[in-house]
Amino acid sequence: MLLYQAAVILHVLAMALWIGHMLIWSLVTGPALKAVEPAATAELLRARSLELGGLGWPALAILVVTGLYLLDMRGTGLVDGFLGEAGWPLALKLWCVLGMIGYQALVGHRQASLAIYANIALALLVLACSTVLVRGG
Amino acid sequence: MSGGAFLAWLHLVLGVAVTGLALFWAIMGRALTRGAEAADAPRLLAVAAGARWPHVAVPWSARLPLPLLGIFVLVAAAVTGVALGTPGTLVSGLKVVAVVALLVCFRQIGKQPTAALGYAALVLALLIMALSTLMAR
Repeated sequence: MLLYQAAVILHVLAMALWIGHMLIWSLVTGPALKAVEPAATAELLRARSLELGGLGWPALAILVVTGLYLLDMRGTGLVDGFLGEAGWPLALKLWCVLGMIGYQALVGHRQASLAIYANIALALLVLACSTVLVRGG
Repeated sequence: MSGGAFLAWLHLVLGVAVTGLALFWAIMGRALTRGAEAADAPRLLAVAAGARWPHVAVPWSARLPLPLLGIFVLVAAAVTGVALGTPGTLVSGLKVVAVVALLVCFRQIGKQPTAALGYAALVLALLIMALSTLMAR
């Protein structure tokens, strides 16, 4: 039980860091720092704000490991999860996470005007599915 | 999605956004105090704290400085949290204390940002997320 609780906490913390950084940097701090004067300072601050640009992959690693464990504790296999055998919220969540992993691998921190909004939409969907999984619809 | 589930989702999204904002200050504090600009870190952190959002469409005077935005998002998260109901347990009490401490952190970052305040904000944000996980279970 303690291990399960620890896995849930780690899963949520990794999620908060991964999605929180992505949401805030893309929508708030990245654009806000761009408007700082002079331009050289803006560029410096934006570069420094990406100093820990490698946060995404370690957070994802924790999410995958804890996620697989939590699936196992639910008695659900990964493939079954994707196929909707354990219900649509889990299936949708897993497909959205896969999409976000694809975005991170292919785009990362590069400029990607429309794609970033699709990634954000996926993140919000993941959070919605997680809410339904815990509380019910 | 029911009204209660929507409120829970909104609370989660706001909590993730708060974590993202706290992470931003921790990253900036670390990056600016350890890099080549370490001697100029206090000034650069103050410049970052003066950056405003949204960066377009709104007159500059109506834009929120990033630390104040953090306070607004945290208060919004707290309001949705209260609307969801507080169970009156030790865990929920600790969460309230952590939220107040984080509010103070964001306020101080708005006055005189430091790396230590950034780290404290991040620790508090993660503590709040962890405590929330215990409450949800």
